[in-house]
Amino acid sequence: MCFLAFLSEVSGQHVPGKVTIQGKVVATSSQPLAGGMLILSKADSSIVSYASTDEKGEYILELEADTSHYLLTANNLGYISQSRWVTAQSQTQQFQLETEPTQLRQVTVKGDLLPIRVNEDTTSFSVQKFADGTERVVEDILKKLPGVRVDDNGGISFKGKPIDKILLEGDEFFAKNYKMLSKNLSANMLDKVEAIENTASTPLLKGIERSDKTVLNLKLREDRRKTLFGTVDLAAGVTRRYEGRANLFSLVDRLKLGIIGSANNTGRNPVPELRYDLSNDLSDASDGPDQHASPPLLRAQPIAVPGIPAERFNQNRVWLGAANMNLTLTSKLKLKAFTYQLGDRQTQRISNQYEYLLEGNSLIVRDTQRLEIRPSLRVSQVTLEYNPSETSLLKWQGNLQQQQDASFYQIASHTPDFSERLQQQMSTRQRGIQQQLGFIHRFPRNRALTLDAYYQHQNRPQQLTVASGRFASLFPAAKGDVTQQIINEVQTYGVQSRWMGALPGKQRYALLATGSYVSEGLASKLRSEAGSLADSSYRNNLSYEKWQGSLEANTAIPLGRIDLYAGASLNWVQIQEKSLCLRGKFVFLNPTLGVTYRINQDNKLRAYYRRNQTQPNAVDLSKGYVLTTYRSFQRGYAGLNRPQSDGFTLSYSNSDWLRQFSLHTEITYLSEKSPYVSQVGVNDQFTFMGQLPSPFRNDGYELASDLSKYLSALEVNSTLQLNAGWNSYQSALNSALISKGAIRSLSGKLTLRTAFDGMVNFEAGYEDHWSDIRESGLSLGYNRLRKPIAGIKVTPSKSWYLITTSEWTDLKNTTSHNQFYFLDALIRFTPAGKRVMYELSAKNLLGSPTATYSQLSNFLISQSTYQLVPRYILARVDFSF
Amino acid sequence: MNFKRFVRLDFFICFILLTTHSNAQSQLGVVNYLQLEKQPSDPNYKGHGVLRFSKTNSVYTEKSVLADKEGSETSAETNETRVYSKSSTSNVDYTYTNFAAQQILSNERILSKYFFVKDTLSKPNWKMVPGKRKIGTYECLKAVTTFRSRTYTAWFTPAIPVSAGPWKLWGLPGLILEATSSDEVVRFLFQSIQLTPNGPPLQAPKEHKKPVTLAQFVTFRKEKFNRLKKAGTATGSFSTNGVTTWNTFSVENFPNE
Repeated sequence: MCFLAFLSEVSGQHVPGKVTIQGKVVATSSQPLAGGMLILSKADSSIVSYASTDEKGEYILELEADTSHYLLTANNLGYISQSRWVTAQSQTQQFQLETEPTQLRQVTVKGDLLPIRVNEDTTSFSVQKFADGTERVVEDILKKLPGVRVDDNGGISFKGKPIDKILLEGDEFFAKNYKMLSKNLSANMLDKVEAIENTASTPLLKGIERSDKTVLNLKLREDRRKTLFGTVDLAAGVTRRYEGRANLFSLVDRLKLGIIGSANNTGRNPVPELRYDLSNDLSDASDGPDQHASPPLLRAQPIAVPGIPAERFNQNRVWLGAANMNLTLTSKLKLKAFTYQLGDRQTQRISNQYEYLLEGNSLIVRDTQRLEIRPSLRVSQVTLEYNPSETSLLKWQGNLQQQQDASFYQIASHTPDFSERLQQQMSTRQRGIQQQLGFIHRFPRNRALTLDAYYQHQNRPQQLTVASGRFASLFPAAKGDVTQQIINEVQTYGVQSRWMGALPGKQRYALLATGSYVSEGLASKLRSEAGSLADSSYRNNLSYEKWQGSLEANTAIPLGRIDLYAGASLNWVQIQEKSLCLRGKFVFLNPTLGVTYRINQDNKLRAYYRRNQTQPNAVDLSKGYVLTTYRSFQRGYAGLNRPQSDGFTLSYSNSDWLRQFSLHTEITYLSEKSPYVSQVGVNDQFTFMGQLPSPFRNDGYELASDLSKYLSALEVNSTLQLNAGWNSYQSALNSALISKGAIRSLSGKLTLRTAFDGMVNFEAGYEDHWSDIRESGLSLGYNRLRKPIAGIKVTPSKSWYLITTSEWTDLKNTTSHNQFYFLDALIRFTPAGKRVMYELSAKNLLGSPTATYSQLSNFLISQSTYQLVPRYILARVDFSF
Repeated sequence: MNFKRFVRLDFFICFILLTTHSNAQSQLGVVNYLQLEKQPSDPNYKGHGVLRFSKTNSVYTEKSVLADKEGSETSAETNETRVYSKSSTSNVDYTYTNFAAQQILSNERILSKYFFVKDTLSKPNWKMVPGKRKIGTYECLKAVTTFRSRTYTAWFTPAIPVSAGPWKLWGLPGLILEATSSDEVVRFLFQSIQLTPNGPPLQAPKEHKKPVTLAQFVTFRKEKFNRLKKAGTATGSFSTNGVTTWNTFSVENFPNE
């Protein structure tokens, strides 16, 4: 018996039976650790026995062993846990634990009441914790989430990074035109908002594709997910104002449908970006090819006044209709389609005063402008996705867009010595189609191959007609109107292939090969009543072709708390332009290096370097001038300019979600050079616009914090935002310094809101912006905006809600001082148990007196006035069935 | 002379502080629970439970969420008006457990009268069952035990290696964040936790009354309810369908007869 037992001991075979494991747990100072926990578990993590240590730090564990090995773990609060595998036999195990290097912070974790939950790359916000009932659309809620910023145009960014798209319950709606959802979908449908960082473009590439894209996923309330649901808003007001908004959604089963309609003449813009560049929306099977499509030369620019939203002075008449459908035809085939159409008519009236500083004298020119813009846009896209197997995806996408912009300017200007009238009519059309075919296959061991082919065709006829006596000096032969006509047509063919993989140690690598062919024609000429203007400076006739290929390799390596990224791309370009007899072949290398250091869960430091060399497009090759507005011309390089930019970025971010605090700081150094530049002189009638090499330094500091945790005793919620910027620029031409200056800016915004349980609550806020421009040691002026806000919110019962806000905006700069006062009020009545909500709202109740505002623009200072109109909204209906 | 006296006093105070501090463990965290009970007279009873714990002891206090409510409330559905007035007594139900000394002190109630009960701590016999769940940000494991005639399922987190739990549930290799009885009569639901390293000392409550053992308390309780029944008094009773009964419900599940 003894011999057998001895044999089994020696051979390593352990006879199952009662086992006792005992020992002592001490600290590194040999001090016994009482109240610690010893846990014995099996390989499948199931706990078989546990015990706690007594005052001497000793413990005893007893178990009926049924396996040969167990994992013994020693835990103690404030110390680093230790685990070790032990055999199933009675023994003594001693532990010496080290103290935790970081102090256990005073931290509060809530159960399901946590307003923000962070899980690796996903940050989830509980909407009801941030909403206060005044929100109407999704954008209004997003503005209140910490870490999320919405700019004046509706562009959304999270932790400083612009988002790629918004998903609705995981489904894509309207591709990358997320403003369609954020500006039109009702806020009361939301339950949670998830911000997902580093999302792969498709689930097949998850874990393989290195991506720094961020998407927002909107999760709807339970009752909204099951049926057809939507809202209808109808409003009518004095001075024939109307506002209507309707949306209908169904996210049931295989068909996910969304329809949005909107119309108003109250100044609100349902989708700010009326430009639809094909290059901006290559939503594709894999991470799409990089496009360099040139923007149209002519653009009508609506007036922008700092500190005052465009809604307050824009007179418009806009309508929008959009529909999106995602249909799962079979388990392998999916169809996605969307279309939207938009039409608008915007009018702005401004009067300007220009002060020209010429050799100690000042010349004042006054003019009044009337600007009318009529944009119209039509976009349709169809996508077919086929999954032949679980690891493959085949995708075809077709896209068609048509855009039209007509604008009309009328200007009457006078100086003490003369007066003149000028009229400008601009029309641009853009028609484009795009087709794309993509294939992805995921191989075992985390590798993937993607193949893409695309074709794009854009046609952009543009025309600008100017009638003015000013051209007499430039074009003596012209009588009456001068018309600039531009025809621009681009065809692009391209292919791309990627081979990507992720290694077991989480290193990622990718190899890319691309090829493309671009053929672009640009023709522009000036005509007048007298005939075509002969001066060849104003005529361009370009027809160029570009062949391009590249090979790129990159890798991302995680090393504990440090993430390294390195990449390089070898590019080959061949360009040929017939009319200028230009030919060129270039080869260049663009390296990229990045390091991210995660100091801890909340703090991240990042350094990034990138060199980018590109090749010019047609507009850069143009030899002569292109008239772009009644005052300005644009001149191209007339040569093969290859700008090279070196960018270095250092950023630090801290996001303590439990305290709802986020900080993002970034310093960027960007240097841009090109071998050849041509320059045009400035005279007093035209503004020079051209590209010059300009290395500049930019410091931007952004700090956002929610102080509510600290003021919770007073039940006051407050938000503080601070921005500081320093932008210095320097431009040189052939080593001769042209200009050197700096723009400094500082702004802050503080909002305090009370949150008493009672009937009345108050809001007070203050916003201050200051910026100044200094050039060559001279101050070109400063701008200062101050804006105190005060508001009262009264909720006499659950059904009634009244809020009134008053805003005073003070705009001051070197030469002028303007003040505006606005009073807005909103009364909302929600009858209990009914689906209807009634709202009476008024904006700009006290029309501001005719005011002037100043804008600093190079060497010109202008002042503008405009009218403000009050409006009222009547009723709003919610429904679901 | 004065200076010497001052120094002696100062030293004495320091000594007191040091000794009291060394006897009492410092609090490491506070957990808030929602204690739900299906009482015969109040099936929707909601209590707010607070557990303060250290490595070797814990204090659990519980108070009804209505305890501090004042005023009257009319329910539209049942057309019933309830009047609330703030409780005049500052007594709350509490349980103090000392794992190291194997001691339990609790404030047990018979109707509105409180008794100070002192007893030896008995460790519930826990059985590990498969199951994993995330509560808050903590990964929790599952265990089951039968305690005071009820079967409880508890979710505990080894990330916080203390034996504490709500009420008298303790003895797992991690903090118990949630526990429910199989008959759904008693539920302790996790609401929030605040970790407070080097918090204030966690001390045993002062013995204002003469302590009784648990067995003695159970006997008192049975006798009291029998006397009430015999006397037919309405004190502490409620009526359902014409039948008068007393709220003899207790989480302890004491025998009533």
